[in-house]
Amino acid sequence: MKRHKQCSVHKLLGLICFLLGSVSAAPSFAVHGAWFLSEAGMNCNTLIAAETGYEKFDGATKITTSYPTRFVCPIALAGRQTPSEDYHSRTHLSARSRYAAINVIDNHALQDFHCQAIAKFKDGSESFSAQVSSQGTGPQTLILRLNGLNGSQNKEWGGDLQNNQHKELEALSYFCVAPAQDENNWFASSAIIQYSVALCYGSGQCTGPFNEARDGSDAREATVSVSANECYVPHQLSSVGRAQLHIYGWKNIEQNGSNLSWPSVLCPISVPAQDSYPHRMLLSQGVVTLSDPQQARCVVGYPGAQTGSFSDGVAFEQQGGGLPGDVFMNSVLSVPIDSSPVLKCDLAPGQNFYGAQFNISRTETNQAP
Amino acid sequence: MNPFKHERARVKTRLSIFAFIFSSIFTAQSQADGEHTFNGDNIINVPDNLCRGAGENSLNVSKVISGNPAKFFVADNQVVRVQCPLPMRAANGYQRSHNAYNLNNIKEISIVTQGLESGSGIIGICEAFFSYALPYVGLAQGGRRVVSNRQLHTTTWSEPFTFATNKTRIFNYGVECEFHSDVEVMSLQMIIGDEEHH
Repeated sequence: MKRHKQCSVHKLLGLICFLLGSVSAAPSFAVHGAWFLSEAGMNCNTLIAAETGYEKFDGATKITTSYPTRFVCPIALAGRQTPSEDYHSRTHLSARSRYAAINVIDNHALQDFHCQAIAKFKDGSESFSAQVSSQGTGPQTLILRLNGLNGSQNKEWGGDLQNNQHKELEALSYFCVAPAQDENNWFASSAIIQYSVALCYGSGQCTGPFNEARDGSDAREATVSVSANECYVPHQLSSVGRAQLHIYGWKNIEQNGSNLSWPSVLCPISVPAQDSYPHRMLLSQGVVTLSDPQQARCVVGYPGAQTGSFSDGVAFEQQGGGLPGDVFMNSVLSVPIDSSPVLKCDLAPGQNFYGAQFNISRTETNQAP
Repeated sequence: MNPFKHERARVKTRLSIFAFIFSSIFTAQSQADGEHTFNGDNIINVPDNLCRGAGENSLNVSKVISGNPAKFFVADNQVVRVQCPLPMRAANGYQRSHNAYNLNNIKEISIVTQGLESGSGIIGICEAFFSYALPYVGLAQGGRRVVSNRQLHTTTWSEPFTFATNKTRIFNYGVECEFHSDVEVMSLQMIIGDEEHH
């Protein structure tokens, strides 16, 4: 009888262990550590709009000045859903983060990139992080903030941002002084390819590693709209057609001109905030709406992190269906995590670019970045 | 001792343990789901230094960025037109099979400006707008708001909106302002409710 009881107790303990094991082995998608926000390097602006000596044709910001140039790279603090417990408080926007970095290519033998974060808070104050610099030449990632795996390789914000990171955040940007064009290397400009931050979720824990795999099993593709006024028309010289931004988008106001002189509209695509885990993205079902789809000349791609050059462009074509003026991506684009997608359209004389839309999916959520 | 009674008691004990374990599991799961239920607002803080010149004089708009705010300088007897985008970044952490946001759920759009010249009075007019497919391109505007020269002037559009729309395709959208005096765009913000919980 005693043996029978022991046996029952053992069975029950085994069952409990099995059930507890099942619970702990269940997918941990319900835990949200941080939102990973990334921006195309072309979103960086010089402090004075009229300043020349940089270009954005490839979706990166490439520096061609003969002197070091200052850039501000803003982050759109959107796409971070509030946790239910913060629903009424709305105090969850802060600079607490697990990761913050800028991908650059330093092609100057003697000068470096120097970058730091600037946080602007609701109370009107501003705080700066410590400055980080590039090391040597070539492509590299400047780490401003990092929660390393198992607590190793941690890097804090530093500066006065370190003590103020809990304050309510209004805007977050990176400020960089970029090296000049190296006069001994005219064929390779330094460039800002992409920049990102993993902002912590709500007021909860912020101690996990930045690349913790937490994407939910229900994470699917999102439809992303590209507003025409997020786009940029580089160097509008008098020799090429001129485009103007109106309430209906960008329009080439020239009535004629050869197809070699169509102005380019470059649109950074605001990719979805990724749930804790930065990963490669697939762009599909892209559609651009123009006034004259028969003269469409659009391509979507991204600046390569190693070269800064526009890579893997996917063209658009008329396929029937959709809205009048629609042209569609003719295949899928896969974008690596160290870059951001950019849409480029050349506008024929009289052409109007209204806007664009893409489906962007999660992929490879359980693989290392 | 009735063996059936003993068996019933054992079964009852086991059932209580199962009930306890399962209730613990479901409690834990529902707490986790509580974290996973995004029923809050999306507060979109827009990088105001992305505001840019628009209209016929867009090439000549003089803009200086100081930290995050953007300053726009206006020559005497001139007017500058500025557009500020509202980047509606989606969240990939949960199901969003349609638009990043449903425009019907916009609760508030606000822009904060500061006059840079002395004096008082009106220095411009701002309007929130969305262009969308009808299927031909249409325009919804939120109403023109006067901007005064005072320090930190907040211009707000809030519910009910005249531009509320669930159009599935939106093109150019944001806030457009016309200024006739030097001004600094201090901040731009949109609050939009979660599409799936309204």
